[in-house]
Amino acid sequence: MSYLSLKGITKQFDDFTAVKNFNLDIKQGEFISLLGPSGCGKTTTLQMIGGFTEPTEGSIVLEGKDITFTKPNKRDFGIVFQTYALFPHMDVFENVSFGLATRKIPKELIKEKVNNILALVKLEQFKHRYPAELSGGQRQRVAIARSLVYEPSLLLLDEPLSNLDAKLRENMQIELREIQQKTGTTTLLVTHDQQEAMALSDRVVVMNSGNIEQVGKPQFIYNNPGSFFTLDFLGKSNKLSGDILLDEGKYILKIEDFSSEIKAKETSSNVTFYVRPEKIKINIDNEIGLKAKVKSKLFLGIYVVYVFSRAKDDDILVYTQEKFRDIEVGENAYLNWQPSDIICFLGD
Amino acid sequence: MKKIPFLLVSPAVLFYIVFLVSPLLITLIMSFHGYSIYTGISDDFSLANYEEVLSDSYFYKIFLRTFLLSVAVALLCTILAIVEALILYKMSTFYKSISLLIILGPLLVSVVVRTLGWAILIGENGFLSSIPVLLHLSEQPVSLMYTQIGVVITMVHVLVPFSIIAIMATMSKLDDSIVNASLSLKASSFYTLRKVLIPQLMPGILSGVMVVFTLSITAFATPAIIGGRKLKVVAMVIYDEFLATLNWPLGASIAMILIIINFVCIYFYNKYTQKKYKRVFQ
Amino acid sequence: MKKNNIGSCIFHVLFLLFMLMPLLAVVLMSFTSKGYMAFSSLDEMSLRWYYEVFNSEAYMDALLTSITLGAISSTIACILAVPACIALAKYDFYGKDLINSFLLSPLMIPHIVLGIAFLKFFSNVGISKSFLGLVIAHIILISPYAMRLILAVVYSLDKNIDNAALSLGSNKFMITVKITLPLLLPGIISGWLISFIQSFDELTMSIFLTPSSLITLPVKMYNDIDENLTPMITAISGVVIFGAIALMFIIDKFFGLEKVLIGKK
Repeated sequence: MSYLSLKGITKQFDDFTAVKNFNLDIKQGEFISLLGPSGCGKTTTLQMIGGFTEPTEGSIVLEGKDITFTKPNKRDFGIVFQTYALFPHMDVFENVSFGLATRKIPKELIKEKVNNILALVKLEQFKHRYPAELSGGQRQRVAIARSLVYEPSLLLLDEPLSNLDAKLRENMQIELREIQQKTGTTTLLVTHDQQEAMALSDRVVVMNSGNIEQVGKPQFIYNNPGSFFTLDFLGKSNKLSGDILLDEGKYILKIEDFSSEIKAKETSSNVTFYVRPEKIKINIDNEIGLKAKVKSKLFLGIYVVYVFSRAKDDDILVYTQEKFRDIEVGENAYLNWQPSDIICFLGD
Repeated sequence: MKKIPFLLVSPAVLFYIVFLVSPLLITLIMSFHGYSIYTGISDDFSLANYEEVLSDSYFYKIFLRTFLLSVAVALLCTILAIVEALILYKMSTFYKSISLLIILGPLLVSVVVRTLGWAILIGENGFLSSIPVLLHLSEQPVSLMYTQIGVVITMVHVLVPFSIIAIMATMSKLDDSIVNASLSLKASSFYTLRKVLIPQLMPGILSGVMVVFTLSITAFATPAIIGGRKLKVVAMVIYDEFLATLNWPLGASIAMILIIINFVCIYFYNKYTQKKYKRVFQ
Repeated sequence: MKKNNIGSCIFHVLFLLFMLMPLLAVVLMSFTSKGYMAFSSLDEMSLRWYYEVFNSEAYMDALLTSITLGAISSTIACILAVPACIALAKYDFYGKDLINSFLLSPLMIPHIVLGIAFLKFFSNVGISKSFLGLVIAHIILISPYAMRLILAVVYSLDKNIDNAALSLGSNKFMITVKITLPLLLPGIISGWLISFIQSFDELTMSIFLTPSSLITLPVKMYNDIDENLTPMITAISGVVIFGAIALMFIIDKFFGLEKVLIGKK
């Protein structure tokens, strides 16, 4: 039986529908993300799960109990908001112990639990500081500690890292995942940052205009997007066009002079397919591949970005780490890829 | 649950209905009543008071004087405030803060005290009155007391902080980089002023004009003390009717006319700024 | 950004002088040793009139009346304003904008009109020329000032704070007591101070309502300027000015004068 179940959740406003028939089963201890552009309905869904908005239709069931209309202060969830929403007039200790005080936990036990959680987020020495005296990253950790200290049934994170600068965000992502795994708390993250969603989650729910576009493990949906929306939202891709032909009993995808195997049901001409830039290999040893010329090159440290131009059709973007494939602008090369890296939406 | 906000506002709203709306309504009704020295306020209903106020040359003169006085005060306040605000804009924070303390501080002191100060300065033996003598321009001290100019100067002192507040409020929302962009495009300082800064400050300037004008036409203490009996303004006439002549209904009608003029000014100000500046200042 | 040139600096200094002149005149005059309104040369200055005013029962009563009136009116105004502001800022309800404008409306009504309207109303109800009437009138007059300030503070609070407290298990009442009110406290205090100042300084409306037994300070001063002009008025003015300066520094130190009067960012 699933831990948290969302059945047919719909949120209708006067002039538009924010969430349409949202169905999802979440397992206990799972880290799941709602990912999508602004306006896709992810925050509204989180608000319904948290109890701040009521769904127009549908139900929310937690461990068999229907909590669709339960008040937010009775749900025993933890929530970290984008603005952290720390209480400015209380110090770190008072902020973190707030959720324990409302549960009438005895003072001694509160002290112990707060100290433990502050140790977990590495903020013990800031116990008596006020939010105004803390940095963005520290405030974020206080917000997390405040929500986790009473061991909630569910942790909800509403774009918690978007106010941090890039470097800090990366560090916090790692810390957040570690904390979640240590406590084993079932976690739902809402974000528009695909890199963040994929890095942290056991499963990702891609949302688009109120609908669920695709659900799956990060690696799976990255390599096997079910639609162009998901493909494009999760990362860059090159749009190419070729023909599916039958060759000695096997289906192949042919683009100019380069052919690779493909799983297909019938031949077809002028088929659109996609290959991600990091999956393209630059071949200067022989002529197997798509002929192209280096148009520009950007060194980004971790990898090199190449833009290749072809005789006809669009440029091709390639990311590569291979040092010995270091070729310069104006040089020619052949681009190829593995059959498994071809993404094609044929309905098969 | 849905009733909570109504419960929260009800004490204030109820208090206002009983103690603000009722008095004003009663006054409005009273303005239609008649009055005689012998029988007091009568219950009849007519526009007689309004007719009297709007047709009598005595009242007309006073309304005109009040109006012209207010126009002069509003104009002077605005010009002074614009110049001063621009100077403050370019000031360093330290001097700006001190300057604002000096400019806005007088608002914390009662208008009686400020007016008293001017009375001392422009009175018969006042410091300012003696200046013409020191400059050998006159044999006797020239007192501005009981003159229109004296009233205007004092009113400007009392009301110019409001103009400055209105302009500074708009100024704090200004984007410095727009001015710098204009200057970097080789526009002269004065041109930048005209075409870039002042249009952006317009809503604040107009707001200041409205505040000063409406406070000016309804002013009592300053014109009474500095202007005296000979330079009556509308507020003083109301005072006379209520506390001297005791013709309350007539006084009420003058008060109602004053309120209407006030509301008309505010209405047209809102209409104008909404239309002209709505698109710019979303 | 170009700095100010000499012309601007001169204008600025003259303008500041203009703003200070009348207050300086009053204060200087208050140190006169003479028995009538005249400036004294430096060696003839004295504190004579300050002694006189502090010994004047009439003036001390008036001062006390104004302080008491201000304190009571401001307190009640804030008590009315706080729940109203919480409702306007945190809830969405029918007629919200209308009620907002309504509660700020006294700002648009001339003091002279309020004065005569209250005079008529109180005489109808039987409390004319009473301290109670004066308090009621002042509450109406100053409430918008308190409201404007407190409303700004409530709006500035992070909207998610209430939701965070809810998620942590608190109910709406406890949130108001433990979180909203403590956070509003600085705003409430500055709202109280602004209201107090407005009440203490008020003249035009109070002239019509003041009982002769409990006259307010501004009204007494106005009457004395008319009927009994002696340097004693300048002495009490000096006291008032000193109080205003002290208050100004307190407001600026804790809240920032600009923020309270202009509403800066």
